[in-house]
Amino acid sequence: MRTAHVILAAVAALALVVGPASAAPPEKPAASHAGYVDGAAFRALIDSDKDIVEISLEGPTLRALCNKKDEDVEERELYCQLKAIHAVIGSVRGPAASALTLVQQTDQKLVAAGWQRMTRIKDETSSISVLTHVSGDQIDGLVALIFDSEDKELVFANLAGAIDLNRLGEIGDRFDVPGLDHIPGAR
Amino acid sequence: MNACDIGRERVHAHLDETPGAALSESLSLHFATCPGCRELYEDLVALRAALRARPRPELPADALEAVWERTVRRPAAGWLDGWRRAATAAVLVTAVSASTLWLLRGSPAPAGPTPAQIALAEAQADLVLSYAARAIQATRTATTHRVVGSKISPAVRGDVPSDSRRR
Repeated sequence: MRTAHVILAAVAALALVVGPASAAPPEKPAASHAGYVDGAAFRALIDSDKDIVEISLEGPTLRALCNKKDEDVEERELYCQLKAIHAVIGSVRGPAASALTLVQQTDQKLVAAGWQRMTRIKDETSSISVLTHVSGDQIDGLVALIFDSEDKELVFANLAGAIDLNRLGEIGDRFDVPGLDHIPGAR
Repeated sequence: MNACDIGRERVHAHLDETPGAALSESLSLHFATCPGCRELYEDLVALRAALRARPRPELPADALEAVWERTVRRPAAGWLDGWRRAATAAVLVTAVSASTLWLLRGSPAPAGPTPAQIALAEAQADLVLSYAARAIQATRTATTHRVVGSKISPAVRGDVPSDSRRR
């Protein structure tokens, strides 16, 4: 009888603890993450008549990339740490100066909001800014703003989540994306 | 010799329903015309008499008591005892937890992305990571060439232009 009571108590405790715990809490929207930056202002600048690349990956899609059975373990680990990847890439409409102004304003706003400026490089035709958001000892947000005033190409890229810059650099070297060579300093 | 179907039923009915009673008139008339049924009746009467003539051993009183204890009395005394009680409680607790879990989870989880969507997402993610990585690479290059290369190294070598030297 005593054994039965012990088993009963164990089953009850297990059911009460494991039950609610295994119910996954509702996933927070990526926009609430500290490292998330809304790229809507850049989207408004892009010329709709030309090619636009608008990327927004989060939640189940990122988890699928994380769980993908792939040989590239480093890349998968990078995806597993990220909460959101989004970007706006395209040609701006109107004068290049307005896009450049928006890039600079965004850079300043992010710095004012506590982001750390990692890079701001500007030459005759191009500008590039990289900003990071740090929580504790961990980089949990990255924004890359690239603008070429000659062909008016604008890139806004934001990664939200834990980011290992060294690993990101190593992985980036492996990608062969055409058209990236014109980024100042990236040659 | 075989009994007829109707007569066999009447013989069994007579022996089962009115054991020891005298034959009815209609059954006696039937036996007069159906020797098979009469033979069946006589065999069954003889069998019953033989069985009843066998000795009946007395059942020990404690054996009867033991049977009562194990069958009739026990379930009434403790149908919810021991393991049965534990099992019932465990089932109840599990059912309550499962209901809570179901309520917390709400509607079933939607299906994940398809392989085509994953492939597209991977290409898009690679593109964004490429830009981010190239931007970081630009930072390194700029630091190396523009700061270390053109400012710090000349200063270390003493190649600083005369007009920029402190006077």
